[in-house]
Amino acid sequence: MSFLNQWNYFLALGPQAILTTFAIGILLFGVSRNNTSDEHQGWLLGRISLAGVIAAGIVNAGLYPFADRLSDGIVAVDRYALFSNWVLLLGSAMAILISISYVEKQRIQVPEYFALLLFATVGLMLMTASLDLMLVFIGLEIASISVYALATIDQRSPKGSEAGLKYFLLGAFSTGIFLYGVALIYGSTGSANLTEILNATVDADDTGVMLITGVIMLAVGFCFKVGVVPFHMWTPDVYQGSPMPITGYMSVAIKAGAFFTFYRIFGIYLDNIQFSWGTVFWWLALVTMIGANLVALVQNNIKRLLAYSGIAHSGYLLITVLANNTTSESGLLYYLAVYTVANMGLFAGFVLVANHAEHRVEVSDYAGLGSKQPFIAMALTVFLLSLGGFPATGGFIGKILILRGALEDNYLLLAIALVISTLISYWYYLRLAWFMWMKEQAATPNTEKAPEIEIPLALKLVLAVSLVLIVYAGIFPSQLIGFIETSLLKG
Amino acid sequence: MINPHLNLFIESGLFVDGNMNWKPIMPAIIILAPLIGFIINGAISLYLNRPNVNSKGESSNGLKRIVSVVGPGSILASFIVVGLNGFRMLLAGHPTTFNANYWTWLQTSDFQVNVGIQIDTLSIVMMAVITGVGFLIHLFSIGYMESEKGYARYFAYLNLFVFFMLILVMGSSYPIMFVGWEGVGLCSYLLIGYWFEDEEKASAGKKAFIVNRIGDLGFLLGIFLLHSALGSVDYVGVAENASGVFVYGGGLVTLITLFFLLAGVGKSAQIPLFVWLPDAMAGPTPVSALIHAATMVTAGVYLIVRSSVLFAMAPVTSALVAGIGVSTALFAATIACKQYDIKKVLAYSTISQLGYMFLGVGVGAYTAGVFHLVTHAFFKALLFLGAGAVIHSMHHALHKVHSEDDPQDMRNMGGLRQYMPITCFLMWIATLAISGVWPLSGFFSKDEIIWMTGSFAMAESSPFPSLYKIYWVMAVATALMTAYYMTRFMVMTFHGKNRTVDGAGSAIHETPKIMLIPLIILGFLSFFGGWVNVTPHLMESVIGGFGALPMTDWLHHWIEPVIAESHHIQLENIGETGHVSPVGGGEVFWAVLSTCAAAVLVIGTTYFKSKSLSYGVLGEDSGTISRFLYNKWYIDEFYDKWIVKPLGQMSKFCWLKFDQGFIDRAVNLSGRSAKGIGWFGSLFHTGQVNTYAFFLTLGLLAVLITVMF
Amino acid sequence: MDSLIYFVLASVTVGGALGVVFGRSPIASLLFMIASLGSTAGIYVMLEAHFLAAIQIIVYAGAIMVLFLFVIMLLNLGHDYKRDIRGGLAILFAFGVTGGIGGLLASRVMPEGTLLLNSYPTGVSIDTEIAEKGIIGVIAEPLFNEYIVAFEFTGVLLFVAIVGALALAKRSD
Repeated sequence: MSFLNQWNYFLALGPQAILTTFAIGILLFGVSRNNTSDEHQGWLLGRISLAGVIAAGIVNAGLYPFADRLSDGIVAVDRYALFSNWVLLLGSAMAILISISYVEKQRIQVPEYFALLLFATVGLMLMTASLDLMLVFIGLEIASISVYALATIDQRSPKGSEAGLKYFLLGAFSTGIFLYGVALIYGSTGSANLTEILNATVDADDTGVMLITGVIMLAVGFCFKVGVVPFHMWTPDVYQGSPMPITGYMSVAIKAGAFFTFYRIFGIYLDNIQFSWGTVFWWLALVTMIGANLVALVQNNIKRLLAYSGIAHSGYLLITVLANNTTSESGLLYYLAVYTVANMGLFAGFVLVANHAEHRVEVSDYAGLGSKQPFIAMALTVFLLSLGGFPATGGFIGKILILRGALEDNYLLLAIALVISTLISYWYYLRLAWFMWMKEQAATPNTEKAPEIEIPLALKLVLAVSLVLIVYAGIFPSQLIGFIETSLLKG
Repeated sequence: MINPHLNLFIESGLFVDGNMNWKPIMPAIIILAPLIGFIINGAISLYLNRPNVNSKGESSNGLKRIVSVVGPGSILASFIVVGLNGFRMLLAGHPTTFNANYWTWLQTSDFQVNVGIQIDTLSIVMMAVITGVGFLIHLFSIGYMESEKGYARYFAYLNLFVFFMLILVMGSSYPIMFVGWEGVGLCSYLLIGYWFEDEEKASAGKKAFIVNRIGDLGFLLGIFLLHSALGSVDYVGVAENASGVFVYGGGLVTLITLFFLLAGVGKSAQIPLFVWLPDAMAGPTPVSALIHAATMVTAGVYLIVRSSVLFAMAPVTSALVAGIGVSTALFAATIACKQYDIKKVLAYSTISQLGYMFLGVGVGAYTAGVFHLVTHAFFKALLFLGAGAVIHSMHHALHKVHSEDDPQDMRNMGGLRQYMPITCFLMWIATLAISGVWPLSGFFSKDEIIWMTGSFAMAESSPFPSLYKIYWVMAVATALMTAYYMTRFMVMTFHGKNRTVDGAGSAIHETPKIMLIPLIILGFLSFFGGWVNVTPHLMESVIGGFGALPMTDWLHHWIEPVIAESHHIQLENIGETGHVSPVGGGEVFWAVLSTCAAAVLVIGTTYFKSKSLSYGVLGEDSGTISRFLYNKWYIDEFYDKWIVKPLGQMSKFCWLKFDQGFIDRAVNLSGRSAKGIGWFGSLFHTGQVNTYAFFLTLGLLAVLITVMF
Repeated sequence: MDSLIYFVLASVTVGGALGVVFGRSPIASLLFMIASLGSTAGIYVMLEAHFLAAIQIIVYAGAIMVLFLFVIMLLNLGHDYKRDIRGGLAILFAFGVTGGIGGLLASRVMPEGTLLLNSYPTGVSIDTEIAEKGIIGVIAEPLFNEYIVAFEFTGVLLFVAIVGALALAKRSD
């Protein structure tokens, strides 16, 4: 099959098309009802969005027979893209479940909220499937613009508006750099198509400064999106100001989508000129891992904490792009899958503790959670341990794969830095756990008593499923690894 | 040439001797029983923690009874299975190894880790100690923790600990050991901070945590290097390939063993990472007995014995192991001489004894190391539990008279023998054992380590003969100090005049029965436990009653197959160890001499100390050396000043520069930005977005420069 | 001659962009921007991309700028405003860094010429294609064949931007 028949594009981008349709449907529904006072709109539209995600998932599963058979267009239908679709769909499904009570309680404009969430996923899925830098750019922008709007969708929150604006301005700035990079690459190779770039760079040497400059600018654009030091500075602010489910979505889906694409472009199609970006990535990974973990040590706001934690994870994942052998590619996929689940689970817990609002976001607010809400506290502890890479959780396996991959390509120093920074990271992950289990809530008169937390069904689902997945992935990882190994770009 | 036993077990993966096939029964039960206990107790704890349940006293009492049964019961079940298997192994009559792989944990192109267990003579000894001593301590805890709030939580953690500890010793490969290694660390962290109301105790847990992370770093790197070198990380594969790949004294094997040593030093609280163990005493006393004396802290010794093939090929690392061990032993013993907190004395004594174990495995006496590990588990558990009983009584008594005195301070005790005679008697057994008085268990194990150190120094081609001679002298000196400080500890606690505040003394009672039974069993083991491994020389001499006493050389033969390969390597490269001490004299001579010296010291100290204490006054230690020792050589202060503080400052610096500096400044720091952050930052103190964009561009410039030049 | 015209247009482009940043009032900034965009269109003409030049004038200089102007007038932003550009060292740093990047590109990329690789350009010469299909055909054909997906999703992108803008503009109560 080929894309000479343009209808095949609809087949190839089935999941994206389905989600787009659902998003537009939700918007139309919102317009037709025009009844913002309806309290259960969130639940209804949340379910519709979830149905959209599930439908997209079904189509995604149905695409497996066609995988690797549609090859000559600017869209890849390979198992890699399908796998990344799974991760992104999972992330957005969890974000939707987390959001339902939140949007109802915060009286956010529900149709726009869910539509933008779906659009963001469409953009990310488009990006990971692209074989053309222009299409990558379009996907990235769809996702980014959706998230800019989502970050500031709660108009009563000045912090949210500030975060959204900041994100928008800096995002636009980085987009400029990204686009300039694409232009330079196009200028030097005569194409924005990745396959042609690959062919054109077969015997490139280090005299091609224009190409190299373009590639570096492209990389900087990506580094901005995933938050790599020193392009990370927007992250804590934006994470802190955004509505909590959106922070979760940003930390998970944007990062996953960007890294899937990042790896596809740099690990595969720009592999020929690794001499140009290798050193840079080496340093970026090192600085990111060490710096972010050190700064995270002194954070007291959980959203900022998670922001720095996310930056640190970007550093780990950068190693896989650098090492790009089969082991580290499996590591990347495994890590992102597990990271998505653990981080979303964590945000589910945060949303509950914050009582579907933006209160109680300090680490000290988690004191005594273990005795008041043992289930939430236990789940959160497991997620934190997984992020830290504790054995018998999924995060450990991911880290081991990354380490192995790094050592296979003799990045010994990076491997050591990874281990050291992981050990540092334990400190702040477990500090939160420490507060949950080991501290009583401070009984000062001016702190109001924490309200009783009721766990809605949707969040119970997220917590329980994430918990099971994380532990399963830690103890019986071989099936998932086996599946991932069939999804690799590097055969 | 490989030892035929070893060869066989490597090739078959299952020891087959003639027509004898040995397979353990229900090995999974051993691990699963504590896990099930953890799940049940954890569930009960979660249930009891719900705010609306607390008021219903009755149901919670019923549940508490369930916890009291399930907690120790699950460990007992595990112990019974271990015992059955050990017995069957014994009946099989030959050193046997069993390997079972349950599922593939991790598989990439060239890296495979199976989740599997290995039961051999070494691991079954460890399992017996863990479940056996563990069960006794669980039993003791029923009484000790009776009135504590988080009773179910406590048992849940304790069961979880045993579960991870069993994984540590039963795993068939280094990664599985690492799982257990991390797991026990986590449980230790949870249990140290068990009484979390106290900020100081909470920070003790943190300290333990950080120090152990350093050790974990070594472990992980060691595993990866090992895999890179041998392509295998399970014990069987490592033993199979090591002698083919590594050369004696080679750089690679030295590096790997150094990493493992770092891991062991962290876990087993050796110099320079020992600082966490005394602070870990903040946890409940049974926890100190189980985790910080009998089992977890010995994991480092186990790791080295497990890797004996590697360590035998790395003489430099081995010398370092022995050096660290003996220095720690001496160093901790000096500190123990001047402590007044009853648990602190025992903590430093534990560090000191762990040093002995390191010394043993460092001189290639792996069996002696394991032997001391086992006997130490008996008498140190007894000492800790006894101390726990004392603290328990003191606490209640002081509580009764509303005294604010510290129930752990030995200066508040004295003369407790009249109130707690049985405890006192049992504690004396343990004290004599640890002091190395014949015929108690500690005498045999410690004597063997010191003897092996001496003969290693006198070996035909000992790598560093004069160094080992120094070690020997230090080890002997430590043995004498041990006798002194342990006797001081006993006398201050149980003898002389009672120094508790008025009226409290009479409120001190003998330990309740549920706590006393474990003490009695441990007392029995502390007394006779050493008889399982007496070298034939000694057995036939006066020490063994000229062969009349039922002493055996059993443990040597038992452990031998696991360490045969390492002995072979040692024999090949170092030669026979000399059967003479560095200053002459044979084994029996020194054994008799050392026990006499210990006995004299014990008696002398008892006499003089109780005399000086009988006036009920304790002189303040005003001498420089006393203060120096009381303050533990100022090591904590040293670390605080040179490591902790600078690290904290660095983190703060990064935070201010990368986070606060750019982001929150407009809100928080604009007024004082100029002096707070410096002129550079102050240039950007309003428009934050501009600043971000500026740094983004700066980053781009830096990256471009990196690439282009 | 060509290069003279090029340099004039290029300096107007860059100067206009600087004017946007340093303009005293929004209106002035806007007019500078129009100048900048207009001279970019001039560069397109020099490259014989006439269609693109026309689009540039119509869409940017025409439609979008007029819209901006309306908004500025409507919100009464025409007066002078407090400059938020800090003086002295900050400007020095900012220009130092940007200048550094510019200098780096100029010194390293330009001497190399435009081409890096021998394989470029591929396929038929653009001139013959223009002769065959006309300049619009050359743009339209790949747009609706090879890049149909990109085209469609650009539609989605614009739609998302509108939805986002509306969501932000809409008062929730």
